[in-house]
Amino acid sequence: MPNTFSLIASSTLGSAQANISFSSIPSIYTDLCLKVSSRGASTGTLVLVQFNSSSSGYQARWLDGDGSAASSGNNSSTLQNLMAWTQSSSTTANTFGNFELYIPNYAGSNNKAVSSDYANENNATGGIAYGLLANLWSNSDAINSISLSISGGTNFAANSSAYLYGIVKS
Amino acid sequence: MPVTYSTITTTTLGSNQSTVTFSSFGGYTDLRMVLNFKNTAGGLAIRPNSNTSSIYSITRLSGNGSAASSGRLGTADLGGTGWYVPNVFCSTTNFNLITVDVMNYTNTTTFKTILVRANDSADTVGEIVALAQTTSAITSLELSCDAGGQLASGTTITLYGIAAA
Repeated sequence: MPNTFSLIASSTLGSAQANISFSSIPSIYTDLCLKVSSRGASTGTLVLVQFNSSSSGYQARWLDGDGSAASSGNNSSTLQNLMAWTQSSSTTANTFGNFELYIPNYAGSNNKAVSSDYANENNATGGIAYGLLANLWSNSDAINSISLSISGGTNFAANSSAYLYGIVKS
Repeated sequence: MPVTYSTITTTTLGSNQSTVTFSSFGGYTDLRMVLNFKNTAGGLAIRPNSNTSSIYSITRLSGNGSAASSGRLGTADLGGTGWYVPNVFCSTTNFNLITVDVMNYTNTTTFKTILVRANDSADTVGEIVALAQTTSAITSLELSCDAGGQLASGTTITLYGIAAA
């Protein structure tokens, strides 16, 4: 019986870096799953995700909670990237946020729907603690690269890690 | 190391379908269904064992892009519709991801509860817990749409089995 999840590539940062990127993603899988543990090296928390270095056609709708209230928001197709949220350097030391992107049919010719969840617990109030995102990249190209950065020029802190899995359905 | 997460079956619809049914999935502890889903109208209904009795209820936590909310539909609302994903989570335009976790599906002592994660980037994102008040072991899952809708051509549905040992 074959393994369903196969590791395509991973990255664990030995020092702070501006980007975490995966390239040359083969089209031999059915779905992709990216699992990230990260923290900003400075105050930025908004993680920006781009496919194939494209800066257009993204939209997002989210549901989140900050420990005191739940809220929802959206951005239209004018977005230049997908989004997730991570811990910043102002949160409790050594706490890293986690988020996951699931991309079904990433090599197909339909627009690419992306489901993501993120969790940033830090034993303190403030910031986005937990959320769900429905994303869409309106592009018919197969996804062959994924790039992560943090808005405002914040680097990813050392020891941030990302694991990209390919999912085979047969 | 044993394989714990296995593909049972996958199907991509070649045309619009009123129902899609999975069966023959014994031998696992839990099930996960992953749908890259579009429909022609309505919400998504999932009936275990094609049970049309009035046993279904749901509670949702959702965000529509401007507000977060929670609500529920009871057996008086759903009747025999099935475990239900309301139409605000479904799209007639884009294929969106819906995941369905069915835990401990073969037991014959407890009612069956599922957890659904649903996404429509143009409407609503959220999670749904759905209950079927039956102690029967689940041997089939029947998918359909209400409001006269169909599962759209191109929809991909994959059923995974999770073995605890």
